[in-house]
Amino acid sequence: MMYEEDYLNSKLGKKNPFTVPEGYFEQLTAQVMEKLPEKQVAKTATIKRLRPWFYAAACICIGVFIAGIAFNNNNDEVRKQMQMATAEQEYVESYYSDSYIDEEADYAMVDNQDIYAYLLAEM
Amino acid sequence: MTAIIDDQQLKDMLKNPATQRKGFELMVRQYSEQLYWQVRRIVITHEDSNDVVQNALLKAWSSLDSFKGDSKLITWVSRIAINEALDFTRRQKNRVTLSTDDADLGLASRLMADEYFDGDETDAQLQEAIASLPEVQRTVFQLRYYDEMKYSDISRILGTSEGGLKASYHIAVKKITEFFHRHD
Repeated sequence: MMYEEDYLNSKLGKKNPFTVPEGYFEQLTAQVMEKLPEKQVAKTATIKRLRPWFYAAACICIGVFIAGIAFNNNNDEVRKQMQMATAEQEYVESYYSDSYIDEEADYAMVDNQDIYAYLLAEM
Repeated sequence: MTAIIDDQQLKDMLKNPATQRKGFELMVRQYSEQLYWQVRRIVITHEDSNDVVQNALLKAWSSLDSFKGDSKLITWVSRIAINEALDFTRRQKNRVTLSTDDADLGLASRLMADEYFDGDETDAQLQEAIASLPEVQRTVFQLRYYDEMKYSDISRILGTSEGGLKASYHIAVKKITEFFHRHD
Protein backbone atom coordinates (compact mmCIF):
# COMPACT_ATOMS: atom_id res chain seq x y z
CA MET A 1 0.00 0.00 0.00
CA MET A 2 2.75 2.43 0.95
CA TYR A 3 4.48 1.80 -2.37
CA GLU A 4 1.31 2.49 -4.31
CA GLU A 5 0.58 5.61 -2.34
CA ASP A 6 4.12 6.88 -2.89
CA TYR A 7 3.70 6.19 -6.57
CA LEU A 8 0.46 8.11 -6.62
CA ASN A 9 2.09 10.95 -4.74
CA SER A 10 4.74 11.23 -7.39
CA LYS A 11 2.24 11.07 -10.25
CA LEU A 12 -0.71 12.83 -8.74
CA GLY A 13 0.83 14.97 -6.04
CA LYS A 14 -1.87 16.93 -4.34
CA LYS A 15 -2.36 18.84 -7.54
CA ASN A 16 -5.72 20.50 -7.89
CA PRO A 17 -6.69 21.10 -11.52
CA PHE A 18 -9.88 22.91 -10.55
CA THR A 19 -10.07 26.71 -10.30
CA VAL A 20 -12.61 29.23 -9.04
CA PRO A 21 -13.60 32.73 -10.17
CA GLU A 22 -11.57 35.64 -8.78
CA GLY A 23 -12.60 36.55 -5.19
CA TYR A 24 -15.09 33.71 -4.97
CA PHE A 25 -14.37 32.57 -1.41
CA GLU A 26 -14.21 36.11 -0.07
CA GLN A 27 -17.83 36.71 -1.05
CA LEU A 28 -19.14 33.19 -0.35
CA THR A 29 -19.74 33.72 3.38
CA ALA A 30 -21.68 36.95 2.79
CA GLN A 31 -23.75 35.25 0.09
CA VAL A 32 -24.69 32.35 2.40
CA MET A 33 -25.50 34.60 5.38
CA GLU A 34 -27.80 36.69 3.18
CA LYS A 35 -29.85 33.59 2.36
CA LEU A 36 -30.05 32.40 5.96
CA PRO A 37 -33.63 32.61 7.31
CA GLU A 38 -34.27 34.23 10.71
CA LYS A 39 -34.33 32.20 13.92
CA GLN A 40 -34.95 28.96 12.04
CA VAL A 41 -34.00 26.83 15.03
CA ALA A 42 -36.49 28.31 17.51
CA LYS A 43 -39.39 28.06 15.07
CA THR A 44 -38.75 24.42 14.37
CA ALA A 45 -38.49 23.61 18.09
CA THR A 46 -41.79 25.35 18.89
CA ILE A 47 -43.68 23.52 16.17
CA LYS A 48 -42.12 20.22 17.24
CA ARG A 49 -43.14 20.88 20.85
CA LEU A 50 -46.75 21.76 20.02
CA ARG A 51 -47.33 19.03 17.47
CA PRO A 52 -48.47 16.33 20.02
CA TRP A 53 -51.03 18.83 21.35
CA PHE A 54 -52.38 19.43 17.86
CA TYR A 55 -52.78 15.70 17.39
CA ALA A 56 -54.54 15.37 20.78
CA ALA A 57 -56.89 18.26 20.01
CA ALA A 58 -57.69 16.76 16.60
CA CYS A 59 -58.50 13.39 18.19
CA ILE A 60 -60.79 14.97 20.75
CA CYS A 61 -62.62 16.96 18.09
CA ILE A 62 -63.13 13.86 15.97
CA GLY A 63 -64.28 11.94 19.04
CA VAL A 64 -66.81 14.63 19.96
CA PHE A 65 -68.05 14.75 16.39
CA ILE A 66 -68.60 11.00 16.22
CA ALA A 67 -70.23 10.94 19.64
CA GLY A 68 -72.46 13.79 18.55
CA ILE A 69 -73.67 11.88 15.49
CA ALA A 70 -74.20 8.71 17.49
CA PHE A 71 -76.03 10.54 20.25
CA ASN A 72 -78.20 12.35 17.73
CA ASN A 73 -79.24 9.04 16.19
CA ASN A 74 -80.26 7.70 19.64
CA ASN A 75 -82.24 10.87 20.36
CA ASP A 76 -84.37 10.35 17.26
CA GLU A 77 -85.12 6.82 18.40
CA VAL A 78 -86.11 7.97 21.85
CA ARG A 79 -88.23 10.74 20.42
CA LYS A 80 -90.03 8.28 18.15
CA GLN A 81 -90.68 5.92 21.02
CA MET A 82 -91.92 8.78 23.12
CA GLN A 83 -94.24 9.84 20.35
CA MET A 84 -95.53 6.33 20.00
CA ALA A 85 -96.06 6.07 23.74
CA THR A 86 -97.93 9.36 23.71
CA ALA A 87 -100.09 8.18 20.85
CA GLU A 88 -100.88 4.98 22.70
CA GLN A 89 -101.70 6.92 25.79
CA GLU A 90 -104.04 9.17 23.88
CA TYR A 91 -105.65 6.13 22.34
CA VAL A 92 -106.13 4.48 25.71
CA GLU A 93 -107.43 7.72 27.20
CA SER A 94 -109.91 8.13 24.42
CA TYR A 95 -111.06 4.61 25.07
CA TYR A 96 -112.18 5.56 28.52
CA SER A 97 -113.54 9.02 27.68
CA ASP A 98 -117.13 9.97 28.47
CA SER A 99 -118.17 10.57 24.91
CA TYR A 100 -117.20 7.04 24.08
CA ILE A 101 -119.30 5.56 26.87
CA ASP A 102 -122.30 7.65 25.88
CA GLU A 103 -122.05 6.37 22.37
CA GLU A 104 -121.90 2.82 23.57
CA ALA A 105 -124.83 3.30 25.91
CA ASP A 106 -127.01 4.65 23.11
CA TYR A 107 -126.05 1.73 20.95
CA ALA A 108 -126.98 -0.81 23.59
CA MET A 109 -130.29 1.04 24.25
CA VAL A 110 -129.55 1.08 27.93
CA ASP A 111 -130.78 3.97 30.06
CA ASN A 112 -129.56 5.24 33.38
CA GLN A 113 -132.12 3.23 35.43
CA ASP A 114 -130.84 0.04 33.94
CA ILE A 115 -127.28 1.00 34.65
CA TYR A 116 -128.00 1.78 38.33
CA ALA A 117 -129.88 -1.54 38.74
CA TYR A 118 -126.97 -3.38 37.15
CA LEU A 119 -124.42 -1.71 39.35
CA LEU A 120 -126.46 -2.40 42.51
CA ALA A 121 -126.78 -6.00 41.53
CA GLU A 122 -122.98 -6.23 41.23
CA MET A 123 -122.39 -4.96 44.77
CA MET B 1 -5.97 35.47 7.63
CA THR B 2 -8.20 35.46 10.72
CA ALA B 3 -7.31 33.25 13.66
CA ILE B 4 -8.88 29.81 13.77
CA ILE B 5 -11.65 29.63 16.37
CA ASP B 6 -11.68 26.78 18.86
CA ASP B 7 -14.23 24.07 18.04
CA GLN B 8 -15.79 24.07 21.52
CA GLN B 9 -16.10 27.85 21.45
CA LEU B 10 -17.97 27.66 18.15
CA LYS B 11 -20.25 24.90 19.45
CA ASP B 12 -21.11 27.01 22.51
CA MET B 13 -21.94 29.98 20.32
CA LEU B 14 -24.19 27.83 18.14
CA LYS B 15 -26.07 26.43 21.13
CA ASN B 16 -26.89 29.88 22.50
CA PRO B 17 -29.74 31.59 20.57
CA ALA B 18 -28.20 35.01 21.20
CA THR B 19 -24.88 34.13 19.54
CA GLN B 20 -26.11 31.47 17.13
CA ARG B 21 -26.14 33.51 13.95
CA LYS B 22 -22.74 35.06 14.64
CA GLY B 23 -21.34 31.63 15.46
CA PHE B 24 -22.70 30.21 12.23
CA GLU B 25 -21.13 33.03 10.24
CA LEU B 26 -17.76 32.35 11.85
CA MET B 27 -18.15 28.65 11.09
CA VAL B 28 -18.94 29.36 7.45
CA ARG B 29 -16.00 31.74 7.15
CA GLN B 30 -13.69 29.14 8.65
CA TYR B 31 -14.85 26.03 6.82
CA SER B 32 -16.62 27.00 3.60
CA GLU B 33 -13.50 26.74 1.42
CA GLN B 34 -12.68 23.25 2.69
CA LEU B 35 -16.29 22.20 2.21
CA TYR B 36 -16.35 23.68 -1.27
CA TRP B 37 -13.38 21.56 -2.39
CA GLN B 38 -14.86 18.40 -0.91
CA VAL B 39 -17.97 19.11 -2.94
CA ARG B 40 -16.10 20.18 -6.08
CA ARG B 41 -14.12 16.94 -6.26
CA ILE B 42 -17.44 15.06 -6.33
CA VAL B 43 -19.55 17.40 -8.40
CA ILE B 44 -16.76 18.57 -10.76
CA THR B 45 -18.11 21.88 -12.18
CA HIS B 46 -17.83 25.21 -10.33
CA GLU B 47 -21.45 26.29 -10.96
CA ASP B 48 -22.91 23.07 -9.52
CA SER B 49 -20.46 23.05 -6.62
CA ASN B 50 -21.44 26.60 -5.70
CA ASP B 51 -25.13 25.59 -5.60
CA VAL B 52 -24.49 22.40 -3.66
CA VAL B 53 -22.25 23.92 -1.00
CA GLN B 54 -24.67 26.78 -0.37
CA ASN B 55 -27.64 24.40 -0.12
CA ALA B 56 -25.65 22.25 2.28
CA LEU B 57 -24.86 25.23 4.52
CA LEU B 58 -28.54 26.24 4.56
CA LYS B 59 -29.45 22.68 5.54
CA ALA B 60 -26.84 22.79 8.30
CA TRP B 61 -28.43 25.99 9.64
CA SER B 62 -31.93 24.53 9.76
CA SER B 63 -30.77 21.29 11.41
CA LEU B 64 -28.58 22.98 14.04
CA ASP B 65 -30.77 21.76 16.91
CA SER B 66 -30.22 18.15 15.85
CA PHE B 67 -26.44 18.49 16.25
CA LYS B 68 -25.61 16.96 19.64
CA GLY B 69 -22.04 18.24 19.68
CA ASP B 70 -20.66 14.70 19.90
CA SER B 71 -18.36 15.12 16.88
CA LYS B 72 -16.18 17.90 15.53
CA LEU B 73 -18.13 20.67 13.81
CA ILE B 74 -16.23 20.14 10.56
CA THR B 75 -17.15 16.43 10.55
CA TRP B 76 -20.83 17.23 11.09
CA VAL B 77 -21.01 19.87 8.39
CA SER B 78 -18.82 17.82 6.00
CA ARG B 79 -21.31 15.01 6.30
CA ILE B 80 -24.12 17.28 5.17
CA ALA B 81 -22.06 18.75 2.32
CA ILE B 82 -20.74 15.46 0.99
CA ASN B 83 -24.10 13.74 1.11
CA GLU B 84 -25.64 16.71 -0.64
CA ALA B 85 -22.95 16.39 -3.34
CA LEU B 86 -23.49 12.63 -3.70
CA ASP B 87 -27.27 13.12 -3.98
CA PHE B 88 -26.63 15.67 -6.69
CA THR B 89 -24.47 13.33 -8.76
CA ARG B 90 -26.99 10.51 -8.36
CA ARG B 91 -29.77 12.77 -9.67
CA GLN B 92 -27.50 13.85 -12.52
CA LYS B 93 -26.77 10.24 -13.47
CA ASN B 94 -30.49 9.50 -13.57
CA ARG B 95 -31.14 12.44 -15.85
CA VAL B 96 -28.34 11.70 -18.31
CA THR B 97 -29.46 8.50 -20.00
CA LEU B 98 -26.91 7.63 -22.65
CA SER B 99 -26.95 4.56 -24.82
CA THR B 100 -24.04 3.20 -22.83
CA ASP B 101 -24.09 2.57 -19.07
CA ASP B 102 -21.15 4.90 -18.44
CA ALA B 103 -22.72 8.26 -17.65
CA ASP B 104 -19.28 9.80 -17.31
CA LEU B 105 -18.43 9.20 -20.93
CA GLY B 106 -17.15 12.50 -22.25
CA LEU B 107 -16.29 13.96 -18.84
CA ALA B 108 -12.65 14.38 -19.91
CA SER B 109 -13.68 16.32 -23.05
CA ARG B 110 -16.16 18.42 -21.07
CA LEU B 111 -13.44 19.27 -18.55
CA MET B 112 -10.97 20.32 -21.24
CA ALA B 113 -13.60 22.83 -22.41
CA ASP B 114 -14.41 24.03 -18.87
CA GLU B 115 -13.02 27.50 -18.06
CA TYR B 116 -12.52 26.54 -14.42
CA PHE B 117 -10.39 23.49 -15.20
CA ASP B 118 -6.67 24.10 -15.39
CA GLY B 119 -5.32 20.62 -16.05
CA ASP B 120 -4.04 18.87 -19.15
CA GLU B 121 -5.45 15.90 -21.03
CA THR B 122 -4.10 13.36 -18.49
CA ASP B 123 -5.56 15.33 -15.59
CA ALA B 124 -8.94 15.37 -17.34
CA GLN B 125 -8.81 11.63 -17.99
CA LEU B 126 -7.85 11.01 -14.40
CA GLN B 127 -10.96 12.86 -13.26
CA GLU B 128 -13.02 10.69 -15.56
CA ALA B 129 -11.40 7.56 -14.10
CA ILE B 130 -12.08 8.69 -10.52
CA ALA B 131 -15.67 9.64 -11.38
CA SER B 132 -16.28 6.17 -12.81
CA LEU B 133 -15.37 4.47 -9.49
CA PRO B 134 -18.20 3.16 -7.33
CA GLU B 135 -19.44 5.87 -4.98
CA VAL B 136 -17.84 4.67 -1.75
CA GLN B 137 -14.45 3.97 -3.38
CA ARG B 138 -14.43 7.33 -5.05
CA THR B 139 -15.43 9.31 -1.94
CA VAL B 140 -13.13 7.54 0.51
CA PHE B 141 -10.25 7.98 -1.92
CA GLN B 142 -10.85 11.70 -2.25
CA LEU B 143 -11.36 12.30 1.48
CA ARG B 144 -8.37 10.21 2.46
CA TYR B 145 -5.97 11.28 -0.23
CA TYR B 146 -6.80 14.97 -0.62
CA ASP B 147 -8.31 15.84 2.80
CA GLU B 148 -6.18 13.36 4.76
CA MET B 149 -9.25 12.58 6.81
CA LYS B 150 -9.21 9.87 9.49
CA TYR B 151 -11.16 6.69 8.73
CA SER B 152 -13.26 7.25 11.85
CA ASP B 153 -14.41 10.63 10.52
CA ILE B 154 -15.04 9.26 7.01
CA SER B 155 -17.08 6.49 8.63
CA ARG B 156 -19.27 9.11 10.34
CA ILE B 157 -19.71 10.94 7.07
CA LEU B 158 -20.55 8.00 4.80
CA GLY B 159 -22.15 5.69 7.36
CA THR B 160 -19.87 2.85 6.23
CA SER B 161 -17.75 0.74 8.60
CA GLU B 162 -14.07 1.62 8.94
CA GLY B 163 -13.10 -1.84 7.72
CA GLY B 164 -15.25 -1.41 4.61
CA LEU B 165 -13.70 2.00 4.00
CA LYS B 166 -10.13 0.71 4.22
CA ALA B 167 -10.91 -2.04 1.74
CA SER B 168 -12.57 0.44 -0.61
CA TYR B 169 -9.63 2.82 -0.33
CA HIS B 170 -7.12 0.11 -1.26
CA ILE B 171 -9.16 -0.88 -4.29
CA ALA B 172 -9.45 2.77 -5.39
CA VAL B 173 -5.70 3.33 -5.05
CA LYS B 174 -5.04 0.18 -7.11
CA LYS B 175 -7.38 1.27 -9.91
CA ILE B 176 -5.96 4.77 -10.07
CA THR B 177 -2.42 3.41 -10.10
CA GLU B 178 -3.42 1.17 -13.00
CA PHE B 179 -4.73 4.25 -14.78
CA PHE B 180 -1.34 5.90 -14.57
CA HIS B 181 0.44 2.75 -15.73
CA ARG B 182 -1.81 2.70 -18.80
CA HIS B 183 -1.06 6.36 -19.52
CA ASP B 184 2.69 6.24 -18.96
